[in-house]
Amino acid sequence: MKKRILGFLTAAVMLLAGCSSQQPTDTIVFADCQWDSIKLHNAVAGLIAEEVYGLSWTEVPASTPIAFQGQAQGEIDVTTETWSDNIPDYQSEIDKGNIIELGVNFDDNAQGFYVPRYVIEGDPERGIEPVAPDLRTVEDLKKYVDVFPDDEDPTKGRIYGSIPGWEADEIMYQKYLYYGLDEDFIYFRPGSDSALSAAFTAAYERGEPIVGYYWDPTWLTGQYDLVLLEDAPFDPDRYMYGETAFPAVRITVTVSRQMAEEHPDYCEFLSNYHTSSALTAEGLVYVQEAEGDYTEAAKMLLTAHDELLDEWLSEEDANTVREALGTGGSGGGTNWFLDFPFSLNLDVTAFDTAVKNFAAQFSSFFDAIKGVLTGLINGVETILNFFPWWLMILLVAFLGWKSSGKIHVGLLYAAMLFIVGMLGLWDLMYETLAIVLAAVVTSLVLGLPIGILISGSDRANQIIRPVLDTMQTMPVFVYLIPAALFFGLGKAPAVIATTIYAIVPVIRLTSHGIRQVDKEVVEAARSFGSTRFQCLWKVQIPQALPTIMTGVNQTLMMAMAMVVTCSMIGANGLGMEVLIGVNRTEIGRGLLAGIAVVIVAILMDRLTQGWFSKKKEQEAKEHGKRAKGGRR
Amino acid sequence: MKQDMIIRVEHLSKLYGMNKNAAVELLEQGEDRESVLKKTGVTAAVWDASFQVRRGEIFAIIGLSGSGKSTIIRCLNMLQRPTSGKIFFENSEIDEFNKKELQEYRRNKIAMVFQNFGLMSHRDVLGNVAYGLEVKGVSRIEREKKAMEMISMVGLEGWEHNSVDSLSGGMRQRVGIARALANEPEVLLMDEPFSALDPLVRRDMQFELLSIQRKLNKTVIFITHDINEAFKLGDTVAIMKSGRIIQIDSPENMSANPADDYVREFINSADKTKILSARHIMEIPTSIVRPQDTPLHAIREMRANSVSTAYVVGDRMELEGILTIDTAIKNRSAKTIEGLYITNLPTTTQDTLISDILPMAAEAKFPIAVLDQDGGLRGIVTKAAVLSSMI
Repeated sequence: MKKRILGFLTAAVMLLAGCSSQQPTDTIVFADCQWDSIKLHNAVAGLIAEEVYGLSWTEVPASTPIAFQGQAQGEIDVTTETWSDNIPDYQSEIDKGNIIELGVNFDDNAQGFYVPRYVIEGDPERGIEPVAPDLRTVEDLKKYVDVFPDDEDPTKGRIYGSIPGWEADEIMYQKYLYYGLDEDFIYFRPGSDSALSAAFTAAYERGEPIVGYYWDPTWLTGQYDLVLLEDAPFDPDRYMYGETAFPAVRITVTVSRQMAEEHPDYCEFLSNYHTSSALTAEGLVYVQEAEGDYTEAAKMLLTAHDELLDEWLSEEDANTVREALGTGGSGGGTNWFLDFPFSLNLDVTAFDTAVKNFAAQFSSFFDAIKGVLTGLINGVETILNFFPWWLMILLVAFLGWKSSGKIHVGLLYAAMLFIVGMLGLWDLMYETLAIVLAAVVTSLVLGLPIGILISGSDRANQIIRPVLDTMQTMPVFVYLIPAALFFGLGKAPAVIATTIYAIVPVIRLTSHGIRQVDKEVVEAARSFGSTRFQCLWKVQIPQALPTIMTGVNQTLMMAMAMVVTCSMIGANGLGMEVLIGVNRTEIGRGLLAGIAVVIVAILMDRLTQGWFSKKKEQEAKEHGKRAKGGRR
Repeated sequence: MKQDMIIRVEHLSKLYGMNKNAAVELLEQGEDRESVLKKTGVTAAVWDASFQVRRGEIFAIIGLSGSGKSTIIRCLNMLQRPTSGKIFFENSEIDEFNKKELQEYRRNKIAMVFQNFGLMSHRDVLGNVAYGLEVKGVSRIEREKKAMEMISMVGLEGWEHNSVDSLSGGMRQRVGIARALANEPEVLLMDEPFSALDPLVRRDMQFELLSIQRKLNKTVIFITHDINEAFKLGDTVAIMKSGRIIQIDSPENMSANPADDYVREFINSADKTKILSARHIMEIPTSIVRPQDTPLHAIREMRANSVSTAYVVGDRMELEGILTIDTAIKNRSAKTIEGLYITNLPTTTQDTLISDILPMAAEAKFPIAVLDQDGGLRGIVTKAAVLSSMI
């Protein structure tokens, strides 16, 4: 149920690879949906598989819907934590018999709108005043709109919703409407669970108010003191419409059909596998203690709760496990030849803490940047909104015609844009365009001067080049979540992340263009006593312009390519639509939004490129004419 | 120092590399550039160059590529900074100039013409010529007026709004010269300005430069690797080898008393190529007619080419005579031009030396026709071409 897009491609590839080689199921494949507790349960169940049943085990990382699909097809054997209510196809696959539910792992969890306790009660130690002392229920939120202002539209409040594509998201949205919160609040979809947790983390570290969807047990609810807002008592018929509290989700242990047939004895153990929220939370504490070693944490959990073995296993088997725990397991020594034997124990958590503190300490600085960017995005959006749909289509047709010189090209472009409108994605397209254009503007404002700087200085070039390489190759997610910590969720951090990614070509090509200007031309400019600025402005930049424009075009394209990724930190637009489609395995919906992204990208590319090449052509033609006329 | 010296260079050196001190020591002991490079890793582009340039003269520096002549000329306007030595313009030491002074010096006193023209392709001819005035802050109207003057002086009027990419090589260098002159500099630095041009155009340009120089009386420092060019243009010639100046003298003295074998060889190589024949300077006749053509056709032909004479040739291009436009107009009702044209023409062959054509050219009313062995017309030699090639 947690990180979804992340593992999408890898999982798809792995699934394909799995298809081709039906491995003998002496190795059990667990679904690793990439949140902490499922890894812990995998480690516990895996430990017992090794010690009692002589089976080896492995994990396949995949998002929840992908893992579930994989399991239905027999590629994944076991899911120890299946959040059944969050999977749309759950019941139908069970009915078909592709997936067998063995039992309930735990069902004493909770989900709903949470706020940090200090919002209600204050925190004298941190000097935080209670800003919403009478906040008890979801309905009470209406009284505290001002406490939770939206970054992008300060006249409204912001409620962080659930992750797009989760069942809970629909229900939370219904709840938002049901309680009339839509009048004053914006329902803000955070895009991914890591973005949501980043939003909570950032707010909590700064001691700022926040209200949003969360669920328990998680490391976040364990680490921070959050309060679940009260709701009407759960009613099975009405909770779907957001009118009552959630039921506890039945978190089940499920296996593939194949698994059930081939390892009935192990499946019997799995059907006895019951834990609780409290146990899981305790296990997660062990994970922290073991510095992320889940196997070690599993051993600690089983040692501390010896009684679990008796509940799950026969006496004989339970003793086998106890022996193994006592002797440190039958893992065997490390193979020095095959396994890398050295490890550097870095304290990454200290780094995390440092980053969080930094974000909290300089929040006013980051807020100022965010303010500027939000203003820029809103400005772009305002300009875009001057163009109603028909005017924009006419404009694109006209520009297409003028830039290519062919009227049918203009009509084609107009038709493509018309399709976007017909898909019902017009408004989302404008939101996306606003982000893209704001990012391009930011990239140019920063990138052109940097490019000029490094064109003139070899030392600056040497320093900046590796930075540019890093910016281009560093996986986006590495800085996407920190961006959320520093700048919150939404469009402003999306513009920042997009800028980091898209600024590189404009810097590189500006520098390259200026460097490759004919040396003699530059000498000529200097020899006439041009100042440095005159030389740059009157000669080098105009001479480098074609190359610089190529850079601008590439920047535009790369910004467009970041659209989907940025939706993971809550940037609304076409990307969010793709994300929702993918998260729900609604392939059609994702595809349509994807097509819209492609259409917008193609139009922007052709229109900008066409314009430049057209201009050049025209110049060439004019010169030709004049040259003929002027010859003596 | 009796005469008015505008530029004085004293012990100018330009070294590239890290270990300059060691290199200086070796160079002072008279070691040559190659062994210094091998021993110290330092390239001595120029070593210990001293010379003086008189106001109003053309000072030619000649040497093979890599001999350091381009480095010297770039030191004169500080495009490259000398490693050691002094450069005086009038009485100011230019290597001591601060940024502002250097800027003023470049804007007002000295201008440069480049081998590959150094033109800005994003500007038209006018924009290029006006560039120097533009950076000086001259108003648009004024600088364009001045630029137009220069453009017409180099014979490019009507081309001012063309892109420089649409021009031929010779025309581009005319733009380069006009641009340099627009600032009214006292010194014109020319870095192999005509090397990139083909020989015919090069001769025209040399002629042009001389006439401009006579008119404006500028001091010109001229770099070339062509000894003919140096002797033809230079009042004083400096010859360089491996970063050092070997001899500075007038062309006559240098021919008479070469300093060493290297100079002698250079001069000898010149004599061989100096022998020009009609083949080298002839042009293609523009208007050609046949005896059986009507006078009206001949008139049209001459008008189309803006000339006043047409060459009459037979079927195999053998020269029959020359028809003037006056005759053609007088007899425009005649059926053919047969009998109307002049048959008694000065002719020559392709291999005739120019010195031999000279007396004929002085008297001839029309361009001299150049014929091959079979009497076929191959080209014509104009009086101007003969005279300009003698310079």
